[in-house]
Amino acid sequence: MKPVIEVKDLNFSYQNPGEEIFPVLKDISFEITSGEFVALIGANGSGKTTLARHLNGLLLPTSGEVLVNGLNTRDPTVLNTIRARVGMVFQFPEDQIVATSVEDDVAFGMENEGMPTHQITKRVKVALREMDLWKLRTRPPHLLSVGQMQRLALAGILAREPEIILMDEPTVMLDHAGKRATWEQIERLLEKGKTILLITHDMDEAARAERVLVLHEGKLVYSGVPNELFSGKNKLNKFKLEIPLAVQIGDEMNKTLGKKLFSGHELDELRNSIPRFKGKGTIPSAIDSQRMENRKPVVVSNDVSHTYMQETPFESRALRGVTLDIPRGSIHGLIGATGSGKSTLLQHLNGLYRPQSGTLRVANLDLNDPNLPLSTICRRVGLAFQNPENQFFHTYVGDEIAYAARQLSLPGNLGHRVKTVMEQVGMDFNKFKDRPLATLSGGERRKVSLASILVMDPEVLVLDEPTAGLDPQARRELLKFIRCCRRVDRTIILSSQNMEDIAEVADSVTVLYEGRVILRGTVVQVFSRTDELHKAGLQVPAVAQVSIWLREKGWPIPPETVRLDQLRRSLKKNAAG
Amino acid sequence: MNETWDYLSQVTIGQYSPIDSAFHRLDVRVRMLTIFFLLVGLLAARLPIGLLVPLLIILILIFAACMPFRYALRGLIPPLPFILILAGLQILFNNYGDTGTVYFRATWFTFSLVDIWAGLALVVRFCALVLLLGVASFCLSTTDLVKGLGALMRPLECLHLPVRDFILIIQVTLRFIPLLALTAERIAKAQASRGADWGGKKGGLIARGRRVAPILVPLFVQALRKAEIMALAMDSRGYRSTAKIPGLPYKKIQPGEILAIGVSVGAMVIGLLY
Repeated sequence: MKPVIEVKDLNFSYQNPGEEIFPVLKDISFEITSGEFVALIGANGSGKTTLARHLNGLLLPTSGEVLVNGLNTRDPTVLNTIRARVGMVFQFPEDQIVATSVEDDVAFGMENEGMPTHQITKRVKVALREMDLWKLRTRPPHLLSVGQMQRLALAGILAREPEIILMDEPTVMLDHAGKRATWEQIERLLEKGKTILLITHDMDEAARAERVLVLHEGKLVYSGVPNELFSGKNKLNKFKLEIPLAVQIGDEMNKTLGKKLFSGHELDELRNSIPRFKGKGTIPSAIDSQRMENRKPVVVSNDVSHTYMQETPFESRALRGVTLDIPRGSIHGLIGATGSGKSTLLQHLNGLYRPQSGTLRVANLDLNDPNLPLSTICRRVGLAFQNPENQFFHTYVGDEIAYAARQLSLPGNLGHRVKTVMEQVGMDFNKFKDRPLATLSGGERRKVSLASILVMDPEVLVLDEPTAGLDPQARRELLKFIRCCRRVDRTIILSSQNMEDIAEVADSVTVLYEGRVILRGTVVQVFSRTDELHKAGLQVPAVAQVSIWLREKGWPIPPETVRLDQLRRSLKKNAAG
Repeated sequence: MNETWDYLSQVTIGQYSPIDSAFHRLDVRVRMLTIFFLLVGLLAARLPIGLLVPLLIILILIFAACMPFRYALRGLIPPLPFILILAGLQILFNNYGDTGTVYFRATWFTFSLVDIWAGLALVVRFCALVLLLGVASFCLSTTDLVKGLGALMRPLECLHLPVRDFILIIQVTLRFIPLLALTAERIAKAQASRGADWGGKKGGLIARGRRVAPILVPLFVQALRKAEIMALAMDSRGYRSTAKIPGLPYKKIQPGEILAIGVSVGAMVIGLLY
């Protein structure tokens, strides 16, 4: 089949005036054929976005060439034709929306082509209905949810009916329901014969593609089917990637049982491979080995409510009578779909928002007291926002970390304090203190942002989506660090869209749904309530899902199996031999 | 300190209210033209009749827009001290000559009946302007504004003026206002969480500058980054500065709407004549 995209010996480098040439892409060659579904993966900073931007002529190669349907992106006369054929959805949808209303934004690309009005109207209508945005067509984009904004970005691209669609991490900001909707959309597009290139950090998503391209330090190091790539663990580690969860779980189970029973690169494939259990053994009753520890609570929230933009036409209720307590010294997970109130609740914990009704005590501070200064609360309760590196304002690592300690005039030697926290997050003080922040990798920047909170030595550490946007290796390191960070006198509260993160590090979990607490308990208790979680738009962790399927086939796996080590133990104890 | 953090609600240009009033239902071009003609009438009027007719129509507009009357009047409170000071200056230092009854005369100013009329006219004119802008922002969303401007300026395309670029500049600017407000809010909250002092008023200019640096630096960096990505997104969606806009279609102007324009044109003519 004739390729729709041909990349030949592509090299691309940046050069700031007076500085050395910085190569980003090195000798890249590949082809994509019509109707193909290709995933592009690689660690943070490996050059994925830069490569994608070459495919519709947003960037031009330093050497080599890119052809789209035989048209060279270097030829300025065909550039608009190329861009009409290759639609691109950028990473953060809010940054690519141009117009001040939903329907105008969808019309934008077609207006540029000079399409007749009646045709634009028709296509806008079709695209908005397909993306379920028709009712919101007159709404200003900033009043849309993240999921809606993502759909709007896609609608704007689809309305132009491109043949090839480039998607740069389209699911990274979305919750489970949003991700599922995006995948349904991708499948529909593939059915229509569109060619899709998907950039992702999620190996399970990559495993669903027909072909995977792997970039490592600007070089194309793999181009082939996912099965082959994901069978070699060592190679993946070298590229700072990991094998998909389904493969990890299958391999662990096979290893524990000493025979190759399970296989599959996607969870559904793994499910199909599960044989009926032939051995002896009954399913143990659900005895929770993990209990909510009977320690004094560090957070006590009683009927806390919050409404944004009160008394305006855009009033929205974010929290509706939230009641919970979190034991001191534990790691507590907060989960919920987008818009369920997680971030609002987290911002109540360090006093950025005060309860509009209800009472809240955190670290023995009464947050209802209007005279309690914010700085006192922040000193005891450190909060790191989502993508915290966007808030850096110093040039050097050391200064950025020292800021809070200076600002709050914390006692002790400042240098010593900074050194201690840098060592805690695994950064060598002498090597990193004078490094410009701009030269750090994604994972290192995330560590600096955590250190800049930890420097206050808070009793309670609150982390909003700490692993969002990190590559698999950086994510693993961060989760390891979160576990190390916990102390008898330090409580960690984290929110995440990734249930595996929560299952891996948390002791207890609270589930929010439309501003209310609908479930609370240990990780095991919460993740065994599949129906309630699905109702709240959430999924259970992959291991919990697999253990449900195993039980359906008669395997004696207890319902409280939510982590890989638990699954391994139960298989060994109840099913091996 | 008890910061509210709702930056978005503080930056809406006026307070647009998406209700279904008689005035909201009019075509956006009609709404904009009505407001424009009344504005010209108010600015041009010299005699009481020239001021009072547009004022009366503005009051009818407030009613037709279902804008709570007390809410409309509340908009007058912040600028009132300035209006009164200006009226005082007008009374003391105008150059209408001393044609009427002179109540008081000093070496460098006089205080006459004409001066009082001039001061009063200024108060009425400014109050009417504030009310008109209030009702305009109550009935025109940013989207309306962009659409209306696009439609009204379309005839200028015949003169080969870059109308589309102009509209796009306004559109992107309006799009960036909430975007930057939200970004500033996120940064301010993050810095406050790290001990940045938002409530403090102590210190001189340098100390204050030092306090805003933590928000300004990342805000600039992010604004530039967002601008760059938006430019790339526009490029990838085929934006060309030379392209003419067909745009989404507009409804035909209805007879009732012509009446609204007619009334406002009448008010403008009275303002221009008197």
